[in-house]
Amino acid sequence: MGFVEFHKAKDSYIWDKFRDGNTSAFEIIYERHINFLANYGNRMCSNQEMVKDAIQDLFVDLWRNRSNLGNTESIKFYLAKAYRRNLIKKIVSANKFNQQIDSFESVNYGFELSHEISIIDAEIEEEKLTQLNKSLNKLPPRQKEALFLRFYSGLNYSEISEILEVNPQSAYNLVYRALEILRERMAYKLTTILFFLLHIIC
Amino acid sequence: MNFNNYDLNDFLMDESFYNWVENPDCEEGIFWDSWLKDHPDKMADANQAKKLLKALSFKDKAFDKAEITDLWEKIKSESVDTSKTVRFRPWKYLKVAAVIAPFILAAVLFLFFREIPNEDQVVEQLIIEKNNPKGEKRTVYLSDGSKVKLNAESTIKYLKPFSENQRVVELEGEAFFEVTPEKSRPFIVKSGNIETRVLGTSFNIKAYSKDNNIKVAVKSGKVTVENKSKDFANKQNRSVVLSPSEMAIYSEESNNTIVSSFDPKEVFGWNEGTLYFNNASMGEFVEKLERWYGIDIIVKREMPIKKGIVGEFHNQTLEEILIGTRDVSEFDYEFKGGKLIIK
Repeated sequence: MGFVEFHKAKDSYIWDKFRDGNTSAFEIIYERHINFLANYGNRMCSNQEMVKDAIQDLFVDLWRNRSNLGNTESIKFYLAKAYRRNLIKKIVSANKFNQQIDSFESVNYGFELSHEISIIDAEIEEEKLTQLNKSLNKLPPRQKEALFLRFYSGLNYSEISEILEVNPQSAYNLVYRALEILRERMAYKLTTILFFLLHIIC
Repeated sequence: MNFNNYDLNDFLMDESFYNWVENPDCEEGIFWDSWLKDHPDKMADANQAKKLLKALSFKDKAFDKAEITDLWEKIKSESVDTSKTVRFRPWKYLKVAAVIAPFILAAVLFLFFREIPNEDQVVEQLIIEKNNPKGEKRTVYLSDGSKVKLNAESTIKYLKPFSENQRVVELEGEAFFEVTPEKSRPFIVKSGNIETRVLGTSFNIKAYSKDNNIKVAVKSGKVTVENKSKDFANKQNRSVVLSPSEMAIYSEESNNTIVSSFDPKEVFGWNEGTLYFNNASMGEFVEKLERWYGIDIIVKREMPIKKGIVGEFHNQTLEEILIGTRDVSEFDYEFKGGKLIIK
């Protein structure tokens, strides 16, 4: 099985080949997920070297442990889980080193969301988008992360719950609450604008 | 599933609805197209949900092409290019490592912390630790371009990037260093009492804690080996300077360092995939094989072997090596319960 034929194959097939030690399958896994991992990591942590280091560890460990890995339908989910744990560990230890913070909980790794204004979608007004962008970044880090995993990465709620180490209902709630806040803020903004406009006209 | 009571929130949260928004041609797409046709009263909510979901596009924060390729090369050199089939998992070893790692890390943190000068450091430094279990080797690339081939059962620790005035690596076990020359920043390897200081050379250090000695062998360039322990007798060498083909042997027992010549095949061989025995005792033979193949070996014989073990093996299997040496050295072996038993 060559490199080219792998490109269209399903996750489970590539995963099985990879576990057998197929290096092309390994490379495909890297190629398919490097953008997601870079995007995820760069939002968790502003130090790009640390992000790259975590990705390197992730794949080197993956290769070394390949014979002990179980089945998976979603490689992205599998990678996200291990990667997040490792990256947070790195962030925590770097913070300890710099600021001598003792406990894991006291490190807020400040997940950042930045959203792009898509010109293609003319249905949404620019005003709204700017507002949405602001609101997004005011959300608590875990809600932002849940939104990212759901809507950028397309992971489902049960996968998100495992990645964030919460129960499935909490994962659902995180996304729900984030969307609710977004809607409220956008609606609020619109009513104030309307109110303001009416005020001028009248 | 009943969608008739769906409101805006339900649409937003629904996984299949989102799939349809992202990719209208998917399987779910056909369902949602026809469902919405049948439920015009839901149109407003569905459209609003669709807008909001569409607006949730995220700015790309990926690496550029060169970075992606670079990173892959690094991963490859540490995985595909160096690994071989792993037969036994050294869980025991990992458990021990997991227990002692925090202590080592704390000690290293302290040491590094102390050494960093008080000037404002703008660069963020990370402590990197690379640890190889039994049976695995790998190449580590450092931030200054130096290359470290790390043998099995060995650990290195360093700061990434290095400090401005020196490049420090801590080593436990064995490694072959190819150091990028930098006149203003010495490269220092710390292993136990011994500090090896170079400006740019290639050399091998063997410092397994169970060996009770540390061997520094030079392939190219000049290397200074310094004893950092506190108490000294007059006769003992505090520091020696090595030229190519010279080796410093530090003995923990005498706390002294002597300089001698060495057999390059025996010292550098592992780094080129050569397993080399020059009149080895059973103990040395077993230790090398355990480390190389990550297997537990039990020696069940009282008689010493008749002749020292001799042989040179290039990337061969364990079985081939055993067959190649057993007749001359007169021993027998069997595999039992994941272990090798030598009789």
